[in-house]
Amino acid sequence: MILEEKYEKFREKVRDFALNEIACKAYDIDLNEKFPWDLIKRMAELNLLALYVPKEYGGAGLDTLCYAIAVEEIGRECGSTGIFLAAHSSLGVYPIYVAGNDAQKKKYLVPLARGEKIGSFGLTEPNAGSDAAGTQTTAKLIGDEYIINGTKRFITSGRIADIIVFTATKDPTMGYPGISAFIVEKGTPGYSPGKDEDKLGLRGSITSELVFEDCAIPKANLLGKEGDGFKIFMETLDGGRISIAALALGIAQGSLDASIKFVCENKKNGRPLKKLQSIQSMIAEMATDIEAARLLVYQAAMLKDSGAPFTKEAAMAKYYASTVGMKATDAAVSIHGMLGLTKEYPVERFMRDEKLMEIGEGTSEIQKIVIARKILGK
Amino acid sequence: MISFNNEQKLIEGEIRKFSKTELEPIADEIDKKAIFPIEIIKKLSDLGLSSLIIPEVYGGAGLDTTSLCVVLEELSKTCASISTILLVNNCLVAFPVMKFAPEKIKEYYLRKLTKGEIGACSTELGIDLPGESISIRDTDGKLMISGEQHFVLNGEAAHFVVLPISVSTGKALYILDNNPRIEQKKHHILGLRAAGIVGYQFRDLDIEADTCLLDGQEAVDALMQIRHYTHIGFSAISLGIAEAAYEASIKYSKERKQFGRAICEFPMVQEMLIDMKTRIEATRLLVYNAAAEYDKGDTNTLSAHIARLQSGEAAVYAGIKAVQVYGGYGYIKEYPVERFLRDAKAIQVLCETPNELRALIAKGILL
Repeated sequence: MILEEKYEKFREKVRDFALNEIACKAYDIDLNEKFPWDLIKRMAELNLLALYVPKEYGGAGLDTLCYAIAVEEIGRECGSTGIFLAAHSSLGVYPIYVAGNDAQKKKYLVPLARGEKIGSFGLTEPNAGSDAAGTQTTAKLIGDEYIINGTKRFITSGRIADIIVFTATKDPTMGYPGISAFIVEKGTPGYSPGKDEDKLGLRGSITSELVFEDCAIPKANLLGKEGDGFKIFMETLDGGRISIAALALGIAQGSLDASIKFVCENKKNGRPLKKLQSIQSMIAEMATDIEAARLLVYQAAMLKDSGAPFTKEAAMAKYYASTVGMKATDAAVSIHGMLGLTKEYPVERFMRDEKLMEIGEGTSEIQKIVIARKILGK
Repeated sequence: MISFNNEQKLIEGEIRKFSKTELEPIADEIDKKAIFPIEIIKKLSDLGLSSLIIPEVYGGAGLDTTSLCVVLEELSKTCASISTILLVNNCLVAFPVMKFAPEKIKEYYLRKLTKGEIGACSTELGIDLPGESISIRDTDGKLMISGEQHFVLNGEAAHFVVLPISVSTGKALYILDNNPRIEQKKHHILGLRAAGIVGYQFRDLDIEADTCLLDGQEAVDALMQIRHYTHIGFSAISLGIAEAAYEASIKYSKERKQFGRAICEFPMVQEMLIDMKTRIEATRLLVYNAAAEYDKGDTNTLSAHIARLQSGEAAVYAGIKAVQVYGGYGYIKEYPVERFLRDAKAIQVLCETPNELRALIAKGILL
């Protein structure tokens, strides 16, 4: 795909950062479950944490395409760092950017965009996964405060987040019209992060439970109006899906990079692996799948930037990129054989990291439903 | 149709009981901490369920290949690391000793195995890795072995090791007792984390002349036979993992409710269950067909290679889909499905990659 030069220049900048500063740490981040604080500080310095947010709110004043490229290039070296960026930008920053009032933007968006604070998004609950409108967390308005009770689960960056946007309902029997979105700050009495998850992949990212026990939140922390929660999270997820698609793409590209290196450097019975037709076939398939995914991801980003509807295209991008990404990372381990099972090579990490891309921010099955609805109507 | 005889049904029941009481409680933990389950192997040995293919005269169970597959499949439904340890002991260690060793060596090593000792076997990588070679030198009538083997299955806890190696004259098959002078290199491995897969480094270790079981063309032929037999075992393990992933998915999809109903009621979830089940049924036929052919004395390796290829793919597919059915819960270690996926991938590439298998199958069908 031929992008305008400014995008390729931007990619080079992120690629340099990823190669010089992230690649050498990815192994340790995964193996020792090291949350990459230092890299987050560097991403803040490079103004990568809110690329599409206007400069007046502390962002980089660029666009969604730049953001997708950044997530892709970072995920290409380290999925854990990539998922942090995607969650912070799309889930922490975005709902406040689109639905926040001026005061909320000033108070919360600016420090998030600058990377002074870490953002997170509490939507999923133990019993509300794909059925996100089935939220059980309640918000009762008493005087000037909402009293929140409930538990969120699988929240990326949950425990360490300073500012969390989350959903809660007036009444769990009401379904989506009852849901509102709120902002809670770390340290608010009644709010505490629960345990962290021990995960298959993305082991350097933090995934936590969030517990609300009679947590009082000022009325001013309501995002939008009461009952806007469903709309806000659907919009947030639409955008978020572009970033997960970009991450799926980056991780897949990383596994292809590693496979190319492996087959160029190694021989079998004296013959370079890259000369074997069976290997060529696999590399060609991976590269073609990944290139097609890239086009879908960039198309969704460009549509969003143009102001056109992009829900279907974002769902397609995420569904496709994660599906072919899983296939590519799996093939990459096969190409490496037994060596691919060890941490001497990055491919088993890519495979573990990639699996979440088929699950997070709407499973592949949910994406298919979104796509079908857009094509066939409700 | 596959039909098991009474003895096989009995063994299946025994293993099922053992899995439930002994393996289930520890399977997650030994994976997480990468602990070689030596106590479990001892218990299996005491029950006569570890030295499966070793003839009764040496204290083994004297089972045929079909029965071996029944045991490996059944154990793999709970813990593929344990079944891999048994596979190595039987297919990669006992088998070559039974087939190719002189009586004295047979008596010595097979007795060790039936007493519950662990045999290891190194695997040759499919690529020419620098440094990955073993050399055996004759210095003043004394044999010295040096070099590195990247992957030694059961290596961590082995009492002795079978070494199929490339030497200057071609292939050779050695067997030696473990020695504290053999240095182990631990791997952080994706799956089969409790199976004790380590690297061995030999530094001028002197060995006895009778440790060479075979060399030259005899060794080449023997390695082919060992591989053929081992592929059948591996395919039974992949089958067991696929079944475990499928059973877990069925159970979870019935329990988990979203949108007011059990997720198993959604056609897109059913699609995954159906595709898993179809692959498993096909795989089962291939695995037990390969085993039955072997027991009938058929030396054609094609059915074993096809079973291995299909089962490897089916298990990885089932692992990926099981995690998908579980969603976020599939991605965490509270549930066993992510382990099934990791173990499935590890088994699939052990000793031979899918590409190498395809090449062998091509050879077989284009004869």
